[in-house]
Amino acid sequence: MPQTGMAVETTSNLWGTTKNPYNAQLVSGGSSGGDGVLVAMKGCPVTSSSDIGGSIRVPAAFNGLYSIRPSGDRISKTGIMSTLGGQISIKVSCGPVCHSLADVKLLANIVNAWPQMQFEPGVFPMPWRELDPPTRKLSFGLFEFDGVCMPHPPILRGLRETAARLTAAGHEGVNEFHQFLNRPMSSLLR
Amino acid sequence: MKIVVPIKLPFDCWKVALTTWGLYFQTGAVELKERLAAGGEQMLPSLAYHLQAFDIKPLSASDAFALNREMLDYKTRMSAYWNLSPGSSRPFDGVITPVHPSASYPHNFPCWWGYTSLWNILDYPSLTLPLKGFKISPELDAKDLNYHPLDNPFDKATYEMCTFRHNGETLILDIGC
Repeated sequence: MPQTGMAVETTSNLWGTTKNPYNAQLVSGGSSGGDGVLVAMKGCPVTSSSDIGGSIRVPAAFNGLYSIRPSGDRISKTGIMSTLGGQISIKVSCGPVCHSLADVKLLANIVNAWPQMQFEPGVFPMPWRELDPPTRKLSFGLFEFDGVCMPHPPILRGLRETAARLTAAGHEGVNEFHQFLNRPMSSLLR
Repeated sequence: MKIVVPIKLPFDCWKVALTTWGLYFQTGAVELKERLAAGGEQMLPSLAYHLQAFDIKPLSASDAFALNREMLDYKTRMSAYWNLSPGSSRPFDGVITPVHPSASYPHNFPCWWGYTSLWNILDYPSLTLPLKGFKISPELDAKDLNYHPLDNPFDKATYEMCTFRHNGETLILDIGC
């Protein structure tokens, strides 16, 4: 855990710097960088990390792991301590950092707050649901660049290879859509 | 095989980040600063950089209300966009997007979190998956020497950092769905 918890790297006066196990010159990600390294080095099969800006997903990504950040209100907040606990506009969430999609499913089911925590204010009344895989084609949007910070070439290649694999598997690609930006909101909300 | 082309989200992601950081630190990060002062600690350089980049200061209740309204507007726009799912015959099953602009980064580097924090302010579930068999390659992933970084506090440093070697790492993708 980094100083303040509001960093996607992991350095603190208490524990020093948690380095990336693949390359110690690089960060392990954060704020749950210790979780990412511990799971990557098989010190622990899974951790339940927390995320308000990337703190589950960045350490998972930088350490070659699977993870999920569920919607905030599907997670119990009881017992969570934070210096910024009064900030409830953007809600913290909790989810696993782990080695497989099966582990993501197992742990996301466990941390899902309904019905166990149904008397906690704000918890969505949404139980874990088992869904059959769809028999139809899937449809994906590909969002490569946010107009602020251009991803490095290997990141872009990875996204495009993923898109190509999905398309080759028969799923539907998505075309660029400029018109949306020029349409009034009222026409979109009908 | 169909060609997959980038989608554009219905808002300016830099403005979304300004709203996001303003909401994180509505009090001007005063609680964090008090904790650091009590322990006699210097703030992490990257956090200090972010607080300055996003002009973090204590907000009036009216200013905080305005940021919350912006958040609701972004959520409404995203929901409308997803329901339309332009170019798709049905609403998206997911959006494929980077977790981060880089596979990792050097210590004390001012990185851009916008690819993950976007899904926090929208409050969409977000999954990371390793792309099996993918290895970073100096040949296939050479730096784009024709790219001109944008005029903002993050793009130039991230572009220049690309000379840093991180061969052989696994690459992870973020899927908001």
